[in-house]
Amino acid sequence: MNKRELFQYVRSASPVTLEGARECPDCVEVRVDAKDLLSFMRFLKTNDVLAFDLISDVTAVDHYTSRKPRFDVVYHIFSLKNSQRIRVKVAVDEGESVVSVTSVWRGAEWLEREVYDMFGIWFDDHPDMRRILMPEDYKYFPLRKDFPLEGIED
Amino acid sequence: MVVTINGRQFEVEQGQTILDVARANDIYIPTLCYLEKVSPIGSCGLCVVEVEGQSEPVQACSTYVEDGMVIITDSPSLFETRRKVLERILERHPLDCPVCDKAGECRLQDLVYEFGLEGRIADHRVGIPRLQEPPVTYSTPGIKYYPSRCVLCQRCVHVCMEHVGRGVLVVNEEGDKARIEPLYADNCISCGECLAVCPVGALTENVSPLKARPWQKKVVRTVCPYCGVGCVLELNVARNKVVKVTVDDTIPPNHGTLCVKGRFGFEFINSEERLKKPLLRKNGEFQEVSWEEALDFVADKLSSIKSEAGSDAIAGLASAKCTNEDNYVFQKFMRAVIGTNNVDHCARL
Amino acid sequence: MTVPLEKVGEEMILNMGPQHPATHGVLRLVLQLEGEVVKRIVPMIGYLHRGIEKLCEERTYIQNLVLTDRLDYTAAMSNNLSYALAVERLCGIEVPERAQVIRVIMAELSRIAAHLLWIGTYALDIGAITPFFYCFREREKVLDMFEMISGQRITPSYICIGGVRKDITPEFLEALKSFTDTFETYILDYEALLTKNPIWLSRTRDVAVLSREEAINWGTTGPVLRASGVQFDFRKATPYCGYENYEFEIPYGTNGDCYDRYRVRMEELRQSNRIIKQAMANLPDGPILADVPYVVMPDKSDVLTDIEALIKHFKIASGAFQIPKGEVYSSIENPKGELGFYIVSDGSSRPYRMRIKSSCFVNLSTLPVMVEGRHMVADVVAAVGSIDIVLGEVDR
Repeated sequence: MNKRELFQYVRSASPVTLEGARECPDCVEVRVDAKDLLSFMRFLKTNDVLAFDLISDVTAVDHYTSRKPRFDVVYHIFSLKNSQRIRVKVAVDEGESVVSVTSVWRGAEWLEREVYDMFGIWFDDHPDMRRILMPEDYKYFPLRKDFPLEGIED
Repeated sequence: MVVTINGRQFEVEQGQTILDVARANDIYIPTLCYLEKVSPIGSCGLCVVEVEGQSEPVQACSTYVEDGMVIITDSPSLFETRRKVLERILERHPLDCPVCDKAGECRLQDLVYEFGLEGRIADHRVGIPRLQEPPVTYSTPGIKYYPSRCVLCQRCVHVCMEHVGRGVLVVNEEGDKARIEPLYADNCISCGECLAVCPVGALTENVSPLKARPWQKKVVRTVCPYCGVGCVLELNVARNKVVKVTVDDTIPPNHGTLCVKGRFGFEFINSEERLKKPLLRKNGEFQEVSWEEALDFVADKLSSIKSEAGSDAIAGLASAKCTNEDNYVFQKFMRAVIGTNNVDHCARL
Repeated sequence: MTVPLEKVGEEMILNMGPQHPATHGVLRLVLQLEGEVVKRIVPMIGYLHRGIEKLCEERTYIQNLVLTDRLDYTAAMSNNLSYALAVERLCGIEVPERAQVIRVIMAELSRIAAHLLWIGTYALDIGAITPFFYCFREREKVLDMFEMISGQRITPSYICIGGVRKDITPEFLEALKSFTDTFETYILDYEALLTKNPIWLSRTRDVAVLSREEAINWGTTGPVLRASGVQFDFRKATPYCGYENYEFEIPYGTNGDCYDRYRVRMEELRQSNRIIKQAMANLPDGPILADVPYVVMPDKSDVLTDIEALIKHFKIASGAFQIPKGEVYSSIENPKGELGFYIVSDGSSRPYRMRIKSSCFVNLSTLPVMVEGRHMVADVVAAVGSIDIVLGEVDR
């Protein structure tokens, strides 16, 4: 299955409404609403044609003041069967939370913890939601755009 | 009148140049010597465009539009012509970007990068001295002048003659000996206008001991603290110190023009001699004291003078470098607390 | 930092690291022990967190290349390659053929260097000292070759955006040839020391088993995934740098234990050697840098004699090199697994966001699955070592 076929298949077979879907040079990109995230992710993994079984990455992008909602949580999932990657984006605002995908891919556990640690985005139903790289009593979220490079001294 | 530029038609007025029309319609024509506030110089030949019916390309900055003109601003041959112009300029340019003040905000660098120039003619340059020559004397100590970096755009000559009206600078000699010279140095008022318009590092600022590249600098817009005109200027700050002063051409009241004080008079900000604590003369020598002690002393003396000789024995002199609010409070203090109208300030600085 | 573990009855909470010879860097493990059996294990990371992702947002694309060396510093060339590929993909740069082949040689050499380091230190962890000396002898040769072409042994920054920094020299090729010709026999040496060694077998066989399903579910990549029976390699699945033109096998295991991870890496040494030999045989002539004057740095000798080159160098280094707006995720098969770069560009000379997907980070998260409830304290050392982590990449 090549990228074009994958793109068309995802668009037609998706159980939830996609807010946006496009074919990027590197992979297929879709944007879903936060409430549909879990069912869409289940579909990606359990669908026999797609079989997106390997979670590559979970991260976030901070659009700061240039956009509302402020953050995009970005998932990259790889299919061993098709050797294709899909990028799923979910918009989330400051203070809101996203549902964890650890029930779909256990490998998301640490990746989501890192997103929380760096951006302060909370993941619901996560088995172990703690900071991972920064000390646990740290007050800030370093990868947010309003955090200065040189850090904040207490 | 209607002209066609790159296949698009534009309504134009008598007296506009091709460059005026292009800029007004966001059509890019590269320029080097062109300066909006003076008459077209036409020395660089970078803004050449093709006009239908003319055998040779014409300069966009100095050619006035005519009805029905058909103009092309970009073509392979124009690109090649412009490249040649740049190559000619670079022939004698010293290899001193790493030590040049202007590097990073240099118009010549931008153009060379934009045109993707590579040293294709390096062979025939063998023998041309490429080392930087030391700066030569200029008409004002505020500016260092490196003739070898000059691209002979003549912006400085024109701005000094037409804008400032002093006519200090001329182009002397001819051919490869040609250089800008401050022939009438006695006329110079050290306004630094030539420095501001220099597109390369030929004229560089010589006041601040601190230098910084553009990406290290923060530009802070402020109002000149000297006289009452209130020129808007931009302080270029690096590591919390003023490196130099620049001006935004579009902002009133000065529209990019400054005098010697605004342009070069910022040394006092970081001066070591500046008072940071009050001094009190004790046993014939100034000694640093606390603010409490100093204010108590002044208050004591002022009230004793006032009771002995009356309010009018006291006069106050404020500073024009203070803000309006500070000066307002000061005169209020003189009138209401001391009780005198003897208030003035140093506007004649 | 407090630990989310609670002591029950006779149990003991044991702290291992961050300073511990077998954790390969500043990794801290908190163990909940019942007797000698590990009931729970909590890896604590972040002791080497340098904020590279944040730093990247403040530096130009060219400057960021140097930071990638500091991720998995045992295979810096591979990191350079992954980053360069991501940026090239973002601005659509085609890398010349010769540079591609040189890149393959370098990537495979760093795989050999990284795996040799792993075999040596892993054997050391488990108690065998001799393989360490054997492996470091050959690793030294690889590092010498790196030094020969880039001047640096560990952090070469040799593979750059648009190609490689310098052309390889005849001396380098000679050294490479003598290395690849003899390397197979050295691999036999290592195998003679370990593969059938009964102590080695009892320390690694059936230890820290990760089943095929678990390995995929936890998102592992690289030798850890392959040892669990998945024949998967990004060089085959999503070829880059012309890997589709090389003949090589993907070794994989069956049990997913420490021994299989060892076998997989050992076989990868052979396959890498094989790839290098093919690359050397088909090294094309031609330029080593893409012909994109706005991006590619001019030759250093020109910079010292030529004003155009000097200006270009200055402009590119100071951030005139702007990347079109867009985003890209690009990953390669690093010695440790998938190293991915997700770059979001806002059209300026610095990335708006640069995410580094580290395989060590993900692979390390499977440690509790491998160990909890099954193994004793001494096996923790074997399990951690077998994952092959570099804390520089885990913490970034």
